[in-house]
Order: sequence, then structure tokens, then C-alpha cells
Amino acid sequence: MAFRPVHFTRRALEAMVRGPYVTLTGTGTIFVAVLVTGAFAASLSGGERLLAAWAGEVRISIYLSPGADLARARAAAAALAPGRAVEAVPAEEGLRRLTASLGEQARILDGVGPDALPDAVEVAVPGITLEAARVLASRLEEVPGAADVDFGTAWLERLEALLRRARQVGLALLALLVAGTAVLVSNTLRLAVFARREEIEIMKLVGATDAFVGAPFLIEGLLQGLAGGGLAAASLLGLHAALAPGVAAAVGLAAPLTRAAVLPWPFLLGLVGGGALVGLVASGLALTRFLRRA
Amino acid sequence: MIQLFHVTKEYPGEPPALSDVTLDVEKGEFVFLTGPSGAGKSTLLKLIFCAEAPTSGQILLFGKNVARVTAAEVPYVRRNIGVVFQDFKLLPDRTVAENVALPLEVRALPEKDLRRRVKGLLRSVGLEHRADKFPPALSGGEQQRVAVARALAADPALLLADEPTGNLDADRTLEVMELLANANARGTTVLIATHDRHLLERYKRRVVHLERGRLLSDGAAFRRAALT
Repeated sequence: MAFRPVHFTRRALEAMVRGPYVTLTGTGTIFVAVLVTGAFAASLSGGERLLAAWAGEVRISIYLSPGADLARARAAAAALAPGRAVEAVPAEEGLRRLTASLGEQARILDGVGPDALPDAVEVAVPGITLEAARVLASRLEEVPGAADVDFGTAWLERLEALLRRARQVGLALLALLVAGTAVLVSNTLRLAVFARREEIEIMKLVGATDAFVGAPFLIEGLLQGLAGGGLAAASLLGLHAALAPGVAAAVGLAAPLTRAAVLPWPFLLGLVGGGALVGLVASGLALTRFLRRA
Repeated sequence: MIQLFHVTKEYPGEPPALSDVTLDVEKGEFVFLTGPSGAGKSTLLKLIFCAEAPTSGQILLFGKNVARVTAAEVPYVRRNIGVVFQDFKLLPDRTVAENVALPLEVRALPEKDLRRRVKGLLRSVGLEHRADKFPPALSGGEQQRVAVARALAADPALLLADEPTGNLDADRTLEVMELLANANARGTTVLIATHDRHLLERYKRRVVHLERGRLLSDGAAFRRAALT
């Protein structure tokens, strides 16, 4: 069979115009499937970014023994943690920060003087993993005068466990969703092919090869997938514009929820391409099953 | 053109649809295949059209053993065969012209040649003025003429017609039969399955009589006498 893309595309478009309900059903199914999958993946990614941003707030504190040289300790910590922000926190500053963090309950610190707290050196470790934090903390124990190194193990462990579980559940749900989508779309397009069984039969009667019969159906599936995927991507952009500001305000972190972070262009293009691929494959599967019988 | 050697076709749990049929149809012949319902006429056409395979026996079509025709080759064999059915088998959502153009589209005929050919075909069946109508808007006779035009579109060497006049009144029957006879006069081999005795009497061509899957008689002798 000669490859005639213009002819087959024209045939596919004509068929789509002739059977608008079938076309709308196919496009609608792919739209819903891609939208749900995309929204889920974007939510998962956004959630992970939020958690990672919160993890970025983690700091490692080196508490010094009484009489230790704070400036020397800071310099040593900076040498041990190159590239990290290292800050010397004298006891007075430590108490002030503690008071501020307690807010209205700061009254419980009444009568507590700065000498109740040790001088400390704080190392900011944004985005650090639990394992890396452990290694760095162990290194920071070598800081001259260090009495204790605290890197919030419990908090980081909980956070990491939460992230891991969210990722596992998310991926399992995503896989389930993709499989369900493929079956749903395949069945919908199978109905579309079945609705045109008479056309297929007649085309074969007049000597059409399977490729000639199938090409317009495949192009139809591809176009429906492109349309469904494109609409889903556009809807996700709309949803993001409507919802992200509110969510960002509620959690107090805007940066991880920008459009570029949650819905990057490669992701959106992937959704459109994925929709087209689902349409093409589902159409091909439906057609193969039917042509085998025709 | 068509040679059948001891062809049998059986379907599970049923008596043979065709039993030990041997038949030879030469190029340019006009043959009626007749017999009551269930005689095996349609089955015979399906075997010739490669829609089914015989249970036993051999079929040679255009000198080629049908058993050796692969699934991928079937469409190319069919391009030499035009088919007409009792129920027309037209696409209701395509115009008359588009229906007639189908076999030409399959053969990738250039658009300009295709339009010219379709116009000529519709003129030959008297339906040029109905080119842009859809089949449901046509009478039964007109639809069958469209089906004949489609079957003849690609100048097939062989034309098979399964009860082509079964749904038509006497006048429309004659119109359609004239089209088939004209095609035969231009060199197309025509094989018509029918149980309409009036047609056999009127056209006096070779008659192959089937009953319960067996070949009862073959009017080849009459044909030879008529030709000489």
C-alpha cells in the first residue's frame, strides 16, 4: 500500500465529522483519563516539593561546652561543611530565638537567663537527606568545644518516611490509573471501530488491505488523543492558576507551587504526547481485534 | 478463469454446504448459478471471493491455487473481482459518487482520474444526476445500480453477483441485468447466483444448478451450442 498521509488524514477527519458523537466520546474519555492522571501526578509532585521545601528548613545545631571559643568553633564548622551557611549563635541569641518561637507560651522562660543555654553554631542544610545529615553531623562532632550535635533526627526520619510512603502509594495509584485508562480508552475506541464495522467490511470487499482500512482509524485515534491530551493539559494549567495561589497561601510556601515547578512544559508536552499515544495504541488494539475477525 | 476440483465445504454440526463440486468457468462467460435456498450458491461465491476456504478440493482462480493465496494477498486477488449483493452493501453516510469511488481509492487512482472515472460509471448506469445523494435517498433499483457501478469501477476481470435482483421489481430487475450483460459484452466474466427462473429463461445463458450442496446439472452444453 502506498503511504498517503494526506489522503488518510482527510479520511480520518471526514469520519470524525460524520460521527461526532463517537469522536466526542473518544476525545472525552482520553481527556478525562489524561486530566485525572496529570492532576494526580502534578499533585504528587507538588506535595513532594512542599515536603522537600519543609525539609529544607532543617538546621544542624552544634552546642558548645561552657567556655568554648564560639568564633573558632564557627570557623571549624564552616571548614567541615563547605558551601553551607554557618552561623554562630551566642547563648543570648539562642534564648531570644527560643522565646520568639514559643510565642505566647514564652512566659515559662521567665527567670531563665542566657547562661542556661550553651553557645551554639548552626549549619543550614536545605534539602539534605537523612543519611547525608548523619554523615555531616558526625563530622561536625570534631568542631573544637562541641558538646552535642543535634540534627533533628526524629523530624527528618518522619519526613523521609512520609515522602517514601507518599511516593510508593502515589506510584501504585498512578500505575493503576494508567492501566485503567488504557482499558477504558481501548474499549471506547473498540466501540467506535465496531460502529463502523460495515464500512470496514465493504472496504475489504473492494480490495482494501488491512493497512488501508486501518490507517484512517489510527489517525483518528491519534487526533482524538492529541485533542484529549491537549484539552487536559490546558485544563491543568487553568486548575493550577485557580488553585495554586490559595494552597501556597495556606501552607506559607509559594515557590514549590509555581507553574514551572508543578506543571513544567516537558510534563505538559508529555501529557499531550501520552494522550496521543494512548489514542493511537488503543485504536490499534481495537482495530487489530476487529480486523482479525473481519 | 475459475476452476473447482471436487470442492467440499463443511461447517461444524451441519450437512455439507457444498459437496464434491467440480466446475470450470472460462474467461468471458456469463453463468447463472441457481438452486433453492440453502443449495450452496452463496457459499460457492464466498469460496471464489476468498472469503472462506474449502474444507477439501482445489480452487484455481485466474490460474492460481486459492489455497496458496496468503491473507495479505487476498485484497489484491479481490481487486480483480467485482461483487454485487442482494442488500447492495453501500455506505449510507457516503454519497453515491463516494461509494462508486471506493475501489478506485483503494487502488490509489489520482483524484482527477478518479472523478472522471466515477462520472463515466454513473453515466453508464444512468445515475449521473444522483452523484451527490446519499444511498438512503435512492430507490432499491437505483441503489443496486450504484452497487453495480462500484463493482465495475476498477474494470474487474470477474464479476460475482449474489441475488442481485432479489429486492427489485420486474422493471428494475431488467435494468440491473442489462448492466451486468453489458459488462459481460465488454469482456468481464459474470457469475450470478439467483433462484429467479424468469431470468434464466430470458437470458438463456449457461446455468449451473446446485441442490443441497451438490452440482445437479451444468448447462455448459447449451452455452457451447449457442456460441457455435
